[in-house]
Amino acid sequence: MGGRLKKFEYFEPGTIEEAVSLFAQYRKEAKLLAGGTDLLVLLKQRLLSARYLVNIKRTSGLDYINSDDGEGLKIGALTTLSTIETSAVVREKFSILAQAASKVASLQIRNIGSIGGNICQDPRCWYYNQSHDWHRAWTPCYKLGGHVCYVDKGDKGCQKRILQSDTAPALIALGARVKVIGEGRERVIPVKDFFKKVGNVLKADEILTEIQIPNQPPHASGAYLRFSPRKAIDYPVVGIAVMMRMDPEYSLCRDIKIVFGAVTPVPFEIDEAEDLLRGKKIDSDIIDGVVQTVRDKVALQAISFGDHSADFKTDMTGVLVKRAIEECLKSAKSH
Amino acid sequence: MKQLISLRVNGEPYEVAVEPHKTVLEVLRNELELTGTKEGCGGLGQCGTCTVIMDGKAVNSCLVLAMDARDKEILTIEGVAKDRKLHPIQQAFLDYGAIQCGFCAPGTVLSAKALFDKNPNPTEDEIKIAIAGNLCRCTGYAKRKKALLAVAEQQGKEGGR
Repeated sequence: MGGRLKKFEYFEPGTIEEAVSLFAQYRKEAKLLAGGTDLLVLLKQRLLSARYLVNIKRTSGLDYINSDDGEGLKIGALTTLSTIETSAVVREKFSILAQAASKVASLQIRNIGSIGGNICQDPRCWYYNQSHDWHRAWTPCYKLGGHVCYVDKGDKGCQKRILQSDTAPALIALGARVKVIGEGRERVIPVKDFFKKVGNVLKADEILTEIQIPNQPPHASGAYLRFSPRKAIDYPVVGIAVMMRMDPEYSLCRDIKIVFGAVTPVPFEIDEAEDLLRGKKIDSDIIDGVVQTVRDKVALQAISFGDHSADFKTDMTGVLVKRAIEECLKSAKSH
Repeated sequence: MKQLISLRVNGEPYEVAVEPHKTVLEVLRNELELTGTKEGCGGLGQCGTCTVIMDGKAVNSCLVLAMDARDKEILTIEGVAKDRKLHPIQQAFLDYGAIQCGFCAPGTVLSAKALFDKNPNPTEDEIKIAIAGNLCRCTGYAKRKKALLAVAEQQGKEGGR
């Protein structure tokens, strides 16, 4: 069983500035509650602890979707995943993000969980993300203060937890950036640079406040696909985001982004596969080459997750990249 | 420290003193003694049996702090039947045998109700998406889908569609 939350000192800052100053003061002892669907589970499982809880659900200026012909789309970090998947402008102009948001967990969770939280969620592994009682049957891993990694016995630390975000690969494929606010400063980071080896680059006093997505060029189409044991509730075992831009006659691929999620600790873009497609007419030979390149690249880096071995994940990336490219071609032609 | 919050549950106004680390699920069951809302997976958002409707949306009540229910309207399974008459969704669950042990039923009925309140005549796919977050370990999924399709058909006729 999961259990109950421990007591914490509770704050509801009215503004982003107030929230940031709480984090500047309490640092890592404070935890941020946005949607809460990731944090509350981790707290109940005692994987994280919060001496101070900063609830930003009623903090002003974090829940919006603004579309601008010049600047593109801006989404407040607190916007729920269900709001995003049903937003007319997201579905019409950034459909890959609506697709990704709609695949997260279950509707009940998408009604609570935020886009900011989906990007900033804690990376997971099959051993670490279990209950306290479950852990007690094993020697603790590095992350729990021990000296073993159950994902990779050769590792000398916790390096194989995986970000199982559906929206992060889609946002990278869209060329999105995130706005981050800290004490007395603000920065904008491309989503592709937001992650480090494991986890993200946020400093203790920083809050991700906004997602910025550039308007996509004409003749662009996107697809987000994923494999998970069950369609609902489960995290993705493999996720793939493909954004493709065709020429005006829809015969040549002008540009393409191929980004995998949940295969490696952070989202993984495969430039070599993109290079094979850029400027080419897409036929089955080219797609076969892309599948092979993707498999070769993924095979070197894929990380197992419980029942799903690195080999299995490699196989799935090959299957999904083909399907995703075909989806993009199909929706490009229907325009 | 406990804080006094006001909320509406099943149409009734309540003022409850809650500790900030309590969830909506805990307050419903332990403070308001509305035990129709169940806890299945231990408050981890994995089973959906704690589903309630908050301001028109189905949510896992185990993943919402009671503080966040402040000034909100919550519907639990206790508020679904009106005047001792079952809601059409509940009646359909009985008619189609979509209930065996009944543990997942409150959450599933509320997930379905949240859908039907917005969309009286949903498609099969819309029904499946709406209840995909409600695990069932004994009845299975075919019967409750059938029950809900029957409700959709009935309401579609009544709505003149």
